[in-house]
Amino acid sequence: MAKIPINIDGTALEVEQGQTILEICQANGIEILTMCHMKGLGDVGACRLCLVEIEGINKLLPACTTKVAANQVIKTKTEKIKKYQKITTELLFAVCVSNGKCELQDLGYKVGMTHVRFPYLFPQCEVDTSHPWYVMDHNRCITCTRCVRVCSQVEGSYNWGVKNRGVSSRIISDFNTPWGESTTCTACSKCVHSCPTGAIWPKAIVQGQLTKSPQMIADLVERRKMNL
Amino acid sequence: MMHDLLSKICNGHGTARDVEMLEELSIYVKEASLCGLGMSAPNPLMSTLRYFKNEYIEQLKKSDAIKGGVHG
Repeated sequence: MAKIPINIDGTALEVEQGQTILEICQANGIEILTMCHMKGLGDVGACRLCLVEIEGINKLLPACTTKVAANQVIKTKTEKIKKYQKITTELLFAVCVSNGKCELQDLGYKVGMTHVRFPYLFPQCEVDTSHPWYVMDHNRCITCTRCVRVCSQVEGSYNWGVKNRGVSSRIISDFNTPWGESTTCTACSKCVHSCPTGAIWPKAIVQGQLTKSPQMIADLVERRKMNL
Repeated sequence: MMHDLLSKICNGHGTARDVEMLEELSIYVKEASLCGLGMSAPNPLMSTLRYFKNEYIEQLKKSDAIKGGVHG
């Protein structure tokens, strides 16, 4: 593949065409904050945390879904981006109980969040405990759709989906039926491991004891590619 | 959330910080959103803030008078 010159945060790089800005940054040790991105899954650009500035384009673009073009001058750490990352994180926050093991909480520390200035929406969402092994708590869901993507792209069972739009978006099982009644769910637990917060968790766990291994999904995708 | 802030100001419970936050949020929504709706949705609100800033200030003064000049 053809190599093209680009510039990220003042560093000149020679990169292969067809890669996303996020892939290049991660390969070159430039930190970009992400939430809905997960290694091994397709990107959707939903969380708006990886927004970057590109010279000559008057709007901010998400690094995870934007492919590089020749001679782009990309800035990832301007004051504006830092400010927006903070607002985005604050707007995502709910009271998270997978305390200490929550990716959202880690993100809050990274952007230097001390408190939430925006009033909580406190949506009264249901908690689906119908599944024999797992629980889906919609109150803690940030609709990053990682579970939806891991279920369709990796497991291939298409159990999870999204209903409604905007603030009323909710993750649904099958045709908006209780998870326990799902005819497609294989109880593989991939959605449990991909969930960045404490929205999907195994029943046999005490609060705060939840450990997830999101790396497992990416490893699985890589191993399948090896065609053994 | 922005609608709530605006209602709060209109109802006479607003503070200068609410107007600031309204401004900050409208710029954020305009620039950081994914779709065309999000990019243009704050426009009417931003126009009022740009051209009728005085009315916001007047309303805040009225709110202050009701509250006895104490900033919330």
